[in-house]
Order: sequence, then C-alpha cells, then structure tokens
Amino acid sequence: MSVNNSNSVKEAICPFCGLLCDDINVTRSGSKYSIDSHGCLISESRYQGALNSEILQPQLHGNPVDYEIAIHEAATLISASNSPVIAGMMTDVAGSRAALELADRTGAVIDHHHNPAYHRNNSRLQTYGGYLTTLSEARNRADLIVLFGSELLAQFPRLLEKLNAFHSPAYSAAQKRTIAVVGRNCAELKEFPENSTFIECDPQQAGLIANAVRSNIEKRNRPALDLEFVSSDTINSLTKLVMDADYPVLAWCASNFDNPLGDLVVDSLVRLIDSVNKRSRCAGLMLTQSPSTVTVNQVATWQCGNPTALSFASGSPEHHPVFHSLHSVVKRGNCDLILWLGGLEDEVNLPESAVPKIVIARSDPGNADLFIPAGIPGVHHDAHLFRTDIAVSLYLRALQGDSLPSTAEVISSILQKLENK
Amino acid sequence: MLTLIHGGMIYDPTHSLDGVVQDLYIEDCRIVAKPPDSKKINRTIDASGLIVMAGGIDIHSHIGGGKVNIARMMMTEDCDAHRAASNENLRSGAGHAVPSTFLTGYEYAKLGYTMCFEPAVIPSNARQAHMEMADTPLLDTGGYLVLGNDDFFLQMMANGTEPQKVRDYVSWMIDATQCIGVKAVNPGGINAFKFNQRALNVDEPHAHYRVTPGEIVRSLSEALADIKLSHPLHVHASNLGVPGNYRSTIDTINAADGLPLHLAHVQFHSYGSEGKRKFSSASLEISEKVNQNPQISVDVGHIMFGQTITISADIMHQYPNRHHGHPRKSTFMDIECEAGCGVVPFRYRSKQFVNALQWAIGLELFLTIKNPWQVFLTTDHPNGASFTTYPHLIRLLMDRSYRNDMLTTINPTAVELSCIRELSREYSLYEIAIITRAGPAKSLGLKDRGHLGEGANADVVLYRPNSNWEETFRQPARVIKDGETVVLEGEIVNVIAGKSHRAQTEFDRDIEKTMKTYFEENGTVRSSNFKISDDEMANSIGSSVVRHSLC
Repeated sequence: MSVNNSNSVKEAICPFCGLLCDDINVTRSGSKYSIDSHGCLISESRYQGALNSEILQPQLHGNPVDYEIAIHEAATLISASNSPVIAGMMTDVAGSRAALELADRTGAVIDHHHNPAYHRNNSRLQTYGGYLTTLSEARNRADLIVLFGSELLAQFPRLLEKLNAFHSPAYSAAQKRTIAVVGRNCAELKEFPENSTFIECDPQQAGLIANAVRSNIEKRNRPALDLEFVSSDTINSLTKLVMDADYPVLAWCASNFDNPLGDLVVDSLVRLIDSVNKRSRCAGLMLTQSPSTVTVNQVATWQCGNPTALSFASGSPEHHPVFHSLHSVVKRGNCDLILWLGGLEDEVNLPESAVPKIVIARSDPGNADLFIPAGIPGVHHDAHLFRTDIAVSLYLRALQGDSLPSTAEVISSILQKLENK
Repeated sequence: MLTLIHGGMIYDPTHSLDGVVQDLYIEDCRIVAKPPDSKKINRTIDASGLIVMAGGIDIHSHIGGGKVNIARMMMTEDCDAHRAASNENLRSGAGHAVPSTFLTGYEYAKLGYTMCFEPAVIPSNARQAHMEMADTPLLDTGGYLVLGNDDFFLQMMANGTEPQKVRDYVSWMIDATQCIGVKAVNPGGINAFKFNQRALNVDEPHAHYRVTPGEIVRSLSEALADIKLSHPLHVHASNLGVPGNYRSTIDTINAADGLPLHLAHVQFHSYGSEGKRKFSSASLEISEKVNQNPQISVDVGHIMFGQTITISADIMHQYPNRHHGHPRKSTFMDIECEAGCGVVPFRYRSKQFVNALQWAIGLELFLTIKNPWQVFLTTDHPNGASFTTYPHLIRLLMDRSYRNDMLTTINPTAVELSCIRELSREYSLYEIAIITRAGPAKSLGLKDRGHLGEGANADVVLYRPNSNWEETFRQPARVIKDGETVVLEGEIVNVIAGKSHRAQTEFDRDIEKTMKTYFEENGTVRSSNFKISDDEMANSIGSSVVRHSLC
C-alpha cells in the first residue's frame, strides 16, 4: 500500500472477502471515503459502511460508558466466569493471538463463527489429506478451471479477473484456457469467456458429478454413474476436459455445501483430484469468504497444534470441531459467559442464552450486556490476514487509523486488568 | 549488570578452547573481557565442574511456515497424545512430532539451544513463517528463502538473462522476505512436477524451461557468491530418498564447480542401489567427496525410530511417498508459482530394513566426514525425527560401546550391510561444540554467536558431565539467553522473545521496476504488499530484526 497524499491510498488491501484484492485505490474527501478503482460490489458497500458510519461509544446494558469502565466491567465478568466461550472470532492475526491468550489464561472455549464450512474442508485434510493449489498457480498454470458453484462469482466478484480467465495461462504450454461451471441457474451467469462450459445442477449434486467423472477416469467396469439430473454425454465431456487439460483446477467454497452430507461433496472433489494426479496433474482451490476463518485457524494451529474449536478447560488445548463449538457448548449448558469478537463482520450472531454477553465489534451491539467498539482489521487498524488459499498472508494498513482500537488492543487491556485482579 | 560464570570448563572451538577452566564475564547481553578488579560483580554463577558452551544453533529445522502448520493440523493423534498445560510462566500447547510454537521454543531452550533456522521459506509464505517463528519464544530465528523453482527465475534462466540481473533478483527477494540464506529444493524439480514431470536428474532438462538442476545450482551459487552472502547455497539435492541418489548428490557438488555449497539432510541423499533389496549405503562415497572438497558443508538429517511427519517443498518426491504414509494420509500444495509442499506422516521402524539402514547411514556420515566444521547435527526436524532426540543422537556419536549395543536392536541385515560397526570414532565434547554451535554460526556468518569470546551475544549453556552423555545434553544445569537465565535444572524460569536474523543485501534499484511489473502481470499480490519491512517485523509480526552484513 502507498499513500499518495493525505487523500488517496493506492494498492490498499480489501479485507472483505477471501481474495484479499490488494490493488484498491481509496480516496478521502472530507470525512467521506470512496473507492476509485478496482472495487467490486462487496468492497464498495463494505468500505462505505466501515468508513462512513457512526462510531459508537462502549455500552453497558445499553447505556454509554467510558472505555476504561467498559474494560473494567469486561474483566470483572470474565474473572467471575468459570466457563467462558470466545466466539465469532472474525478477527486478524493479532486479534487471534490475543483471544487465544485470553482463552489459555481463563480456560475458555474458543470457536470461529464460520467453522462449520471450514471443517468441511479441514476434516477431509485431517483425515485423508488432499492436493491443493493457490490463486497465482491457478492464474498462470490452469488451462481448465472448474467452478463448483455458480454462486462463486457473487461471493468472490473479482475471481475471474484474479484468475485471468479470459487469457491463456502464462506458465503453460496450453494455448487456451477453459472455464467450466457446475451449479444452478447457469443461464443467468454473464461475462464468461466464450468457450465456457456450464453444467446445471444443485450444489449438493456437485459431489455426484465429481464421482461420475472419477468413475470414468478410473475406467471402472461399470459405466459412469447414471445420474438423473445430468446426461452421460455431459459427464463424458467434462471427463474429457479434465483429462485433456495440463493443469485442471477444481474450485469450490465449502459454505455452499451446507447440509449434513456437505463434507462428502468436498470428499468427492478431493478424490477426483487424487484420481487425476495418478497420471497427469490436477489441484483444488479452496475458497473461503471471510479471511478471518483461515486467519484464526492458522494462528490457532501454530499456537495450539489444532484449529478451533478448542477448549482450554483442562489447562491445555483440546480440539473438537463440534463438541467445542459455541452452539454445542451453549446447548449443554457448559457456558456461563459469551465473548463475541465481531471484527470483520457487521452482524453479531449470539445464540439464545441467558448468560452474560460481551460484544467487541465495529457497530452492532447485538443483545450484549456489554458492548466495546473495535475497528475493522485493515480499515481502522493495521492487520495481518490470510488469503483464501491458506499460503498467502498480507499486511493491511489502516485507512482510518486512531478512530477505533483493534480487537487485540481491547483484549490486551482486559488481560492487563485480569492480571491486576 | 555484570555476571561472573566462575570456574567452568570452556568448550569454545572458535577460540580453540577445549575444556579450559576459565572464568566468563557477561555484561547485560554480551560476553565481555575480564573487568578491572574495581568493578563490582553483581552476580556469580558457580560453574565448577560444569561444561560451558555457547548456546546451540540448529542450522536446519522446520519450525515455521505453511507446510509446518499443515503438518500440525494433520497430526491430530499426535496432538491428542501430547498436550501440555499452561502455568504462570508458560503457554499451553500440543504435539510432539511437530509441536505448536510455544512448545517448540520451550523444548529447544530446555536442550540448550538459543537459535534455530527455518530452512524452507517460500517467498509468498515468508510472512507466515516469520509470524510462527515470532511466536516461538526463547529462540532467535531466521529463514532460508526457497528459490530455483519459481517460474520467474526459470524463465530468466531459459532466456539466458545476464547474471547481474539474476543476482539483483535474488538479492531483492532476500530483502523483501527478510531471510538470511537461500535454499534450492530439488532444483527445478518442484516446478517440473507442475508440468507432470515425475523425475529429474541433475543433468536432465526441465520439460518446459529446458534448464537442468545443475545449471540452476550453478546460477544460484554464482549469484550468492556475487552477493557475498555468508551462507552458501543451501541445497536439498535432486532425487530425495531415491535409491542410487548419491550420484545426484555428487553431481550437484560438481555442478557448483568449486563454489561453496551446503548440502541439507545429506542422509536422505546418500543412498546406493546395490544388493538384493536395491537399497544400500553410499555414505562413504559422499564422505569421500566432502572430505575432498573443503568448500562443501552438510547437515545430516539423521533419522530416529518412531512416529514423525515428513514435510518438504520437494513435492515431486513427496507425492510418491503418499503410499508409505503412517497414518495413511497426505497433503500437497502447489504454491504461487514459487514452490510447493508435500506433507506425509511417517513411522520409522527399527526392524524395517530400509529404515534401519537409513539410521546407520546417518551415523556413518557423522563418523566418516573427517572435519567437524563441515558437518552439522540435525534430524531435519521433523523429517528424520524430532529435535528432542538430539541428546540421544549425541550419545550415539560420543559413545561407541552404546552405539554398538544399539546395533543389536535394529534390522540385522541393515547392520551387516553397514560399515557402522567398524567405525571406532567417538566425538569429543569439543567436536560436539563444533557441530552444534560453532560450525553453524561460522557457516551462517553470525560473528557474535556460536562462541564465548569477547563481544559474543551472551547465549551460554552449562552442562553437567555424566557418563551417559544423553543425560548431560538432555538437561542442562543452566541456559542463559541474551544474558538472562531462562532455564534452570530443566525448568523454564524466564520467557523472553527471540529476534529474527537476516542478511543485509544490496541490489540495483532497476530490479524493483521489473518486479513491480511481474507482480502486476503474473502475481495475485502487488510487489508493494509482498515486501516485508523491518517495521512490520518488529511491530506486527512480533520479531525485531537483526541485520547481518555480508562477508
């Protein structure tokens, strides 16, 4: 990022989707900010809300209080708690480090709001593994990109641009690039390269399509799975595309497979990749909407050996994605305080529970007993976030520094108070 | 604050001190000359009868970065079995084969290590590697940048770009990623695998770019010599783990044409293909080559029996290893047109012929490379074994009788085919001090580390002699880091943060324009956001930077 003069920031990094586009130009005019170039529907609306909306005061039971009183109250509530849960966790590396320290010191449970989708991918990797790739590899090497989910373009508006989809890959002998989409309402998709292929199906059926292609590739004795919703010709065409490509990339976003068997869709995609790799090359591109999901779980993994959800109740980190999730813990009644870290997202999703609730977030107090405003990573304070492909992390510089503390700063203040108690 | 360490036996090979009983003075965080008698000594530590060495330096240990974290995430069973609780001083953590960061720092410190170098920093992943190392307390750290498989570099080679530009590129990349060295992993091979090339010999052209691993080694070695980087090109040679690969290792040395090289985890690259099982030891061929070439250094990458996890950027050779995974799972990743990673859990078994012979080959290398300044003690943590096995490895090197007893516990055919029983050499304490601190410091150009002379950083370890050397090195009596006692009789008493060590490089500023264009056209990150500044390191990543001048 570079600051041209006091009013214009070039190559700012957008924290509002997993792509972390880092070519955003932002201009300030008076107290208002706007995106000059390289914006998208998500970044334009999110930056607008983040930079131009009112900054709230801390609130105790809905009444404004001083920051110091709010910190004191938070420390009092936490020290009185036997089984706190730190949830939401839409935060950056510093926020993750601080929250994990707080959890370690207080024996808390810690969980990320988007873990159900994250663990559709992660449980596959933890159990069997997989073959993955990153955005630059896909951009420069993939001569076939299969997008599993037509929603991907709404979720990641600059995905095709990022992947240079309209041009042939730079580091490849291939002379062209093909895009295929497996998803619903494909007819409504616009602005795709001319030779693109569309296969209409429900997102939950993507796994069946992957299985059918794999069955073809492995030349099993039985014919390709007979699927009612798609013709065998379509499966054969997709098989040929995959097998003819030098470096096909399958891309998906696990949040789109939101059903009890969603992890099996991921499993099918990864198995297809394995199958192709036996003879040629293929890799998966995992897309995650909020960069906080990857960020928090990366930090948790290096500090604790495992991603969230983690319980520190025994003194050491114990991982279980379901048993230690916020909703399971609340349902069991094993929680007497919820600390919600909003960070990157506006909406606070506290569960129904009578326990005291502390919310540290930009603007939504939810139904919190205590609300402490904190900035959005990369907008109100410097922040490290991980990109969707896990490998790349970036350093986002504040656009509107000093206006709000970071989540890490708020938690550090609470930790300091706890030490003095 | 002036501290006297009184009456210890000093083992400081940098100053040729071999157990000399001598006082040592520390003022704040430096070792100082004997002060005038008038100067007040604030603290005296009685080291009578104790061995005194500089803090240990691990020249090759995977402690931070994406692939290490993938390994942690995959080792759920290991984490469940090894969980450590927090206390007033210490954070909690989990994992033995590839421990979480806090535990890594604590366990290294408890062994008397004060510096550790991550040998495979992928450029786009450098930020993460530094963040993980910053969360590894009690250790100073640094990283070697993985180059030689990046499409940008291979294109330069394919286009016959002049060496000056290659040098500027390498120099710029070291600067941008805050690294202290450069590593070539299976030169060209990781990239070739992306083009579905499944094997690549040293003199074999890359399927797409038509350059050979030998040419890559030569080009990078020349660039580093021109830059005057202290540590030579750190090479993970071609054909990792492949029977008969000792020829590739020798070919790699030859490719550098007399320029210095450091060969990483050479145990995995010293295999012959003789005998009924087509797997044999070629340690003597490698030792002979190293003995003849003083410009070559190696770290061994010794294996120990038990569960671990293998993590390597060498995806070309890790991918076939997925069939040997234990537990049977494996994760691979092609990364940012720069490199890749392959992560495969593995259990080395003492009764299994190949594993037993690998164990013997590591010891053969230690014992037949004559000059201890050319060989460094590593297990390529966690690939050969956890670094926590170092005390056991030191005993194997120092105690022939114990070593021979261990031979009765492993696959007898492997013992028969190894020369290990005939090797009578026993390492001395002086030699152990060379291979665990003085040698690595010298190789890395760390002028104030690895020794106990005036001006050295006050990283000092006191060991209690024991006929069982494993006990000696398992639990130092005291570990001093930056002048502070951090470990006392096996207990961590003080937790301090480490610093990050990097090379100070220079380059023609024109390369910045080239890189800006490259990142805009082919990258998915802008060059301005790719670079890591000292300010970011200190204030956000959490590790302040120590810059080392060139040699």
